[in-house]
Amino acid sequence: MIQSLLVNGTINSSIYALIALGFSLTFGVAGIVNLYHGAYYMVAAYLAFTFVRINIPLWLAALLSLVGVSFLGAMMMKYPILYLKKKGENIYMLIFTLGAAYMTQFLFKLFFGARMYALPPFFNQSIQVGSETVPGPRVFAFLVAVASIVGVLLFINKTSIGKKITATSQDSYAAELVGINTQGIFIITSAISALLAGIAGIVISPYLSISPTMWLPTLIKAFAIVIFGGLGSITGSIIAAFLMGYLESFIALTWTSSMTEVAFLAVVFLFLIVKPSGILGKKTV
Amino acid sequence: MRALWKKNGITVLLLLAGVVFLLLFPVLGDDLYLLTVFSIALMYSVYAASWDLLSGYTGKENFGHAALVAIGAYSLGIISQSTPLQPILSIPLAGILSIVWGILIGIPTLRLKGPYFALATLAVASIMEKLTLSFSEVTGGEEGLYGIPFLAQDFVPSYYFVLLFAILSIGFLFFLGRSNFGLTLKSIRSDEDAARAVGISTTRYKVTAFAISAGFAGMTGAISGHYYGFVGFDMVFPLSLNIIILSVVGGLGGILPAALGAFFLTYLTELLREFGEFNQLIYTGILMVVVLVLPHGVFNLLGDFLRRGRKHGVTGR
Repeated sequence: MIQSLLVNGTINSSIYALIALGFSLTFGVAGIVNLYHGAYYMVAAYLAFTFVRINIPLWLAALLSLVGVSFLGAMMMKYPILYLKKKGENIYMLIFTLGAAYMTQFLFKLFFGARMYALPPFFNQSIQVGSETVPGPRVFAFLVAVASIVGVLLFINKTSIGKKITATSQDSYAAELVGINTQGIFIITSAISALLAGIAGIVISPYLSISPTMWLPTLIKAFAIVIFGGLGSITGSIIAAFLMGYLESFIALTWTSSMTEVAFLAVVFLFLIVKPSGILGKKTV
Repeated sequence: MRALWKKNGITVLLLLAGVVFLLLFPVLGDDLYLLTVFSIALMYSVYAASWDLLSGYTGKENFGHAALVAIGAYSLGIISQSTPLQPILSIPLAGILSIVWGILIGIPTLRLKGPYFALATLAVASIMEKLTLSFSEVTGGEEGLYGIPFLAQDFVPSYYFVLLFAILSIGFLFFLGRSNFGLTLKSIRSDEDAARAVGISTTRYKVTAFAISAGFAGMTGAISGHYYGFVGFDMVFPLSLNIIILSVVGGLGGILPAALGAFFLTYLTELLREFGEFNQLIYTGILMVVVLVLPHGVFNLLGDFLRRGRKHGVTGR
């Protein structure tokens, strides 16, 4: 039982971390709580599904849909979000992004219907971990999630664009003074966020279903994890994602899987009351 | 009162004309369909007005207003399973329970800033939503609870009941918003630290605003339960988002714009019903256009326009 908890918990946590990382990045760098984040996850899954349906090979379909969703992320930031940011009232940003996500849901429901779909597996060799047999798609999802997280952390810490992103997150005004195009950095960050959510959406779709409502529970979880970890703290988000993933597996094993979300949100709620700034306070990227 | 009249003469006249129209409507014709639409629209206006008192005035975006509605509606529904409650008893009861709930939730959460408060309220509403589904023996799950006594035997008295309640509630919230209490709430939105520095007990004001907002949401929840004779999952939980949309399209920070926005948008939704699947798309489309183009809301803008050139009145943000 412990093994099953550890294995399933680790796999789920890595996906949560991947989604929460993007959400956290947009907040840390641009100061924007983007409630459209869950929709990137959904858009990528549907794009990949559509490409596969018109007989594009699976891997190419996945790549094309990631390019598409990154472009969408960049455009969302470039036009409506930066426009609203200039006007400076947070509530309109929250409402606009949430409304846009609902609109995407309604559009997809119109095009694809309310039924659920799945992608074919990328990798179908199940693997034995101790006494646990892990199905191939889950192994693949875990490996890709870890690789993407490591990749993004390296990108932020080692490349010059990454350093510009860090600088902007620390003080965007000062970053502008030393000649960084902060608007450009915001757009790149948003594209990376969308890319991360998109990767998560594609790797889970062989074993979880694609449906027009898949974005909302994901968004609530990502939001809760990021707040639990401390808004804008990447390390905090990753720690929170793992705590939450294990908590969920534990509840599912010992009680019932229908209560995982309740337990999850209740823990975050109680934690917020005790420590309003989350696990790792208010650090930036 | 006189100042209100001087500055906003035309607006006041239009509002009075609207109220007279709504009062006379059942006398002028017997369109039961429109009567029902107006009743629902009026309940939504009270939801929006009660949301605005907390979120529009103090800037604390409540993403889980449905939780407060649910307390009122479900307490009525659950009690009605054993003893049918008449509206005269259930509405004050729902109000009191929601106020208590509002205080209990408000004290810990209202310390949270911006997105943290939004998430906390969203979490409370989602937890209640999941629990409602899980404990379906008590709450009726997705089916809902039936057997609630109707407001009145006929459509017309029900309509007048809802109308009277809406006018009184919105009126109360409106004048509360214009009082010193409302101004203090607005000072919290502008700068909470500064408000505290001049000696305002911001926590007490925020919690009071939340409790009042909760009370009206709960009472309206109970009234809608009586109106339909039924309390259901789909009737309550989607409200969290809908109320935000209705209020933002109308305009925040003045009670009346939000209430008018809710009334007309609900009416519009009914008109759009013939577009079938497209109506939700049109609905969210309207929201996004309003946020981008008229962020102060349709009715705040209209109010400013009617005020003949005064740029920022009491209702302007």
